[in-house]
Amino acid sequence: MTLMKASIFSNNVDIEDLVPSAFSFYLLPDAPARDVLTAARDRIHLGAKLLAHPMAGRLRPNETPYRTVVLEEGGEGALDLPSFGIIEYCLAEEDKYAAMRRKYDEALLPDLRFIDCEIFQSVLKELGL
Amino acid sequence: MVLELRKIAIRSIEFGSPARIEGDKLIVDPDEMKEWMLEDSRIKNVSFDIALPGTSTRILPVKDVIEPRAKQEGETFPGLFREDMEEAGSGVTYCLDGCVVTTTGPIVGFQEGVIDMSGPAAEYNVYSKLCHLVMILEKQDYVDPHEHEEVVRLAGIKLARKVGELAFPCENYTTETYEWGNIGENYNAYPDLPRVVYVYNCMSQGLLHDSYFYGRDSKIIVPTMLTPLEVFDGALVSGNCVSPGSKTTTYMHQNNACIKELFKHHGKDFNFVGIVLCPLMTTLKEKFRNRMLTVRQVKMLGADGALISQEGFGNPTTDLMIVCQELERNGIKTVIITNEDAGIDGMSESLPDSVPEANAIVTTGNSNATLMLPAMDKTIGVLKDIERVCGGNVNSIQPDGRLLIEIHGIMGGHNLQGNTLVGAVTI
Repeated sequence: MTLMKASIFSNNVDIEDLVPSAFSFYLLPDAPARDVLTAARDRIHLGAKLLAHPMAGRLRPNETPYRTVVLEEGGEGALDLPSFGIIEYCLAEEDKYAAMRRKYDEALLPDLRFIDCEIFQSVLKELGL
Repeated sequence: MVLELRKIAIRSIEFGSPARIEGDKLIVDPDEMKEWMLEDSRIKNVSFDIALPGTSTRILPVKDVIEPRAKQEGETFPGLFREDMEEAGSGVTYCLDGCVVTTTGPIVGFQEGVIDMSGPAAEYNVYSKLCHLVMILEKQDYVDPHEHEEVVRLAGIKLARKVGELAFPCENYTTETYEWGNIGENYNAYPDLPRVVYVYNCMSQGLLHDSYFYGRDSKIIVPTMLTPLEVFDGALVSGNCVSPGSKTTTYMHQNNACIKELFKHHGKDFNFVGIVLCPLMTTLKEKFRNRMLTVRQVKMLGADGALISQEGFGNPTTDLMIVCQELERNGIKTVIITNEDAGIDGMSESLPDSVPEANAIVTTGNSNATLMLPAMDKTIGVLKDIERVCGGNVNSIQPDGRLLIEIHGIMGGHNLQGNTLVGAVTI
């Protein structure tokens, strides 16, 4: 797939090695998932489009601290309404699950990063990369 | 196409030799089963246990649940073990009704849920009413997570097939016979009734988020028409997805509650004319492609109405909604089935996506609601894994041994084809 310009926002350090060289990568290490979504939301306001669903996979906001968002940049400032709707729903989900936030088992975190990477790799495959 | 399901009622399981079925009792030989399993050199060790309904027994973390089914001619679960394969869904299939093979053990990160054979959790899922032959697998050290998932998946299916073969000599069975015509025959079968198609969503997003269709990873298929008879014969197999309450186990495919219900009304209230299998992908482009291809096939089948079921949490709701929207825009009345994530108190927004056209929704319950489960006399697996189970957390185990868990952590607690013990019915 030929992308005009793509960017990735993630708080998962393991994603970095998987990011294609043509992509811009914004790592927010240890940031809450909400911050990743907010950063992506801000880009959507400026015309970026979601390439993948930010809640791809099936772990809920209180089951993983990791979130990776894949955007296509360069929308000439026009708001992409589907992307806008989806990212707002995702932020609402984060807020809903804030009340059900769980304490993570530290030993589990590498596995959760691994699952996040697996889903990201599925995204790349679907994009033909 | 005609499929006869020969159902042998099983009400208990015992270990013994030789393996056989005596009346409603399944007798299995652990040594023989171990030999079968160790044919896969990636398995280091395997052990077996039994969990029966009504007993103080808990199984966790559960991976897949499979009903033993086998054929003397043709094969169940085609595409998994052999290069060549025939279309599933015709002939005679032997089913051990009331009995399942259940795989357990950790793979990666978040684990599957809990099955309690008694107590409050047993009021929710159909699994608690079944006799479980539980298989605990230990992989060789060199086996990576992808292969580990495959090992567990194939071992469960293989055991279910082998155990299903014990039914061949049985003469004490009931039968269910299903017939399925070609598209033209089905279309014309009941000209006065509205035609209904079932859109069958399945997770297709990566390790522990996959389904298998004739042995092939559903990520690499496009939406496809299939017959309900194929589903009964194991054309669809679970990829051990991590979402206990809302996952479609292989058992839930084999006993798909939507298909059974559609057959119940077929020829009376409507004409059930087909199924379109729709993989749930990660990117928006694939979601929109699959929407277009699914709706196109539903239209080709001449549908007046559609039923959509889903699997998983979060992004699949987008698929559910956009397919519903497009069907409705094409004049096809659509009903969707989903669970809700409405917070512990049920007061939060319950769906992570919605469209105005989704005006007929059946809920399978609020997955965030919590339950306090009593301690059980016996745990098959590791109780501490509850801390890593979806729906559980590090504070789940109470000082007195009870467990606090979300409904979501109960296997099949809010199954998204509606195959649960909790619901509202018209009386």
